[in-house]
Amino acid sequence: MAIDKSLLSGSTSMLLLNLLSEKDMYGYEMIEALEKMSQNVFSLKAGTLYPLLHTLEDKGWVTSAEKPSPNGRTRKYYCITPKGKGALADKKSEWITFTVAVNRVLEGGMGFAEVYGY
Amino acid sequence: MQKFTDIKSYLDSVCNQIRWKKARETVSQELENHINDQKDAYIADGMDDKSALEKAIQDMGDPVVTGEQLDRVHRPRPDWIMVGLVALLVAVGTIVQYYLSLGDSNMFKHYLFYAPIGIVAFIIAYFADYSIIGKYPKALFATALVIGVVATIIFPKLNGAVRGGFYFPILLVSLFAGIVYSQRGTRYKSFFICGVFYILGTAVSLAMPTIGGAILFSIACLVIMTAAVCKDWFSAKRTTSFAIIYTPAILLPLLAIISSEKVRSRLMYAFVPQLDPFGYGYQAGVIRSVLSDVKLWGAAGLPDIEYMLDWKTDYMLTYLMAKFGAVVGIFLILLILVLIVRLFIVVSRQKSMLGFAVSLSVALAVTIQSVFYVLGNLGLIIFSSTLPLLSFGGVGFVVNMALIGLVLSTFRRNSITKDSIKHSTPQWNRVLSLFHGRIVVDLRDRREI
Repeated sequence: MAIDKSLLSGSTSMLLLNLLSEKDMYGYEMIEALEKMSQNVFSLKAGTLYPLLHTLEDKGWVTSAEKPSPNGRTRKYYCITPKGKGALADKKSEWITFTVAVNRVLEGGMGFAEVYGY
Repeated sequence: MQKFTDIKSYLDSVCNQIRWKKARETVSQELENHINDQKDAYIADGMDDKSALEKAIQDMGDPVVTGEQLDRVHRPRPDWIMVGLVALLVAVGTIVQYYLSLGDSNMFKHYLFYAPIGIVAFIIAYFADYSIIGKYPKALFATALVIGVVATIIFPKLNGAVRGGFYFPILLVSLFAGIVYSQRGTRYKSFFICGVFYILGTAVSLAMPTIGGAILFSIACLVIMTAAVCKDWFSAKRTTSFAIIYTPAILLPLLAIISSEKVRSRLMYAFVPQLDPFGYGYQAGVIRSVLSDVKLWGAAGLPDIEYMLDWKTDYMLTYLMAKFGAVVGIFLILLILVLIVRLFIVVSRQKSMLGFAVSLSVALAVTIQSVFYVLGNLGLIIFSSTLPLLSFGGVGFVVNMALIGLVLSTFRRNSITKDSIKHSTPQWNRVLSLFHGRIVVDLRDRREI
């Protein structure tokens, strides 16, 4: 189902940082990973991904390095920095606060944990 | 949205939105690789070449929007903090020079002559493409050496030394950084090459002669080599590398000290100036007695500092501290410290190896100059040096401004500087070769990236 774009845009950085906190990836790999892990709910366009990645790099949250790939081209791999890990942690706690609050309102006062049976 | 059938028109559409032309290549390459990866995936799924390419490009989204967003990220900009620091230092320097030159109009005119040149040098260094240091390091270094030798022969000498010779090795350090960069991945051969260029640079410096310059050059080159080994640039074993670098670095000076009376005595006079029979010790002695009387705030007791040689130029700190109190000296030293800290921060943020090497070389040059100057002004050593941007000296001012412009240039180009990929083993392109008794004709194109 097509998700309202405005719901996605703010949290995409958080998702990308989370991917990179597991391992270094290049752009195409990240789009595939996002699709797979979200079970095709998130299908990020490359034209959205790269400006975002470059912004993250500009902020110092990720760095990039070129490595040769098996098909003869070079790939730009992105790697999260300590500063980026801190930003990710902040965004995650922000997200949890946000979703708990939303769920409380929607479910008439029930918390996130209660709704989802955690 | 317009339909694109070839990669180039898509990329052009994106890049037209990116105002900083230098960023376009990096961006294009990454996007192109992505399109090709996506195309390959579609082909693997059974699509034909043409449709796969078209769909892959379409999947990228609107190129104009993408381009606009990328343009917002890729803006060349200076490190404003450092620009501010430079402006502050130049302003303070001007005030100090003006005050010191009261009663000696030639001195301030000298400063006013060189100040604009320094600013122009700063701007040129900032906008110039410093990557030539990485592309032709040996040629540049050799040219500099030739210029140095010619200068030593031709230029008029003051007290037996080429005027401004101190700045030759200071500039040479940045070229040495280029040599180190060029030796990445060449394993143990790198130490030989770097060693040769180091020795040549030191030799020309000593010929000028500029002892302080040669020592500065040596310390800076040693630090750069150490950093390169720590970062494993040469692909050689670390412990062996350190042994190769530090054994001569420690042994040779020791040997020189042990074997040569001349070296021993010169060193002693440098660090314990009172012993110098030529009387340079007098100056250090004066400095120390002045300093012993310096108050935190306010003039010191001794009136005879005016008789110190070069108090306006080489001993500005001592003079100002004696006249106004230690606070002034501490303030000036703090200013330089802030600049040095900022320089090393810029070094640590460098993404590319060339940017790292070049910015490190400048940070070291500024630091060592400052350390020598402060130590000299405290009466501890007698190398004459410069306090970058603050102390008197036309050539010194221009050189330091150019160096800081260079560092700002590395900062500005940080996002787009690409290191050339180095292989440790050379690839031989042989069409005919012998393999197990058979003649093999290999017509494949085996050029690597």
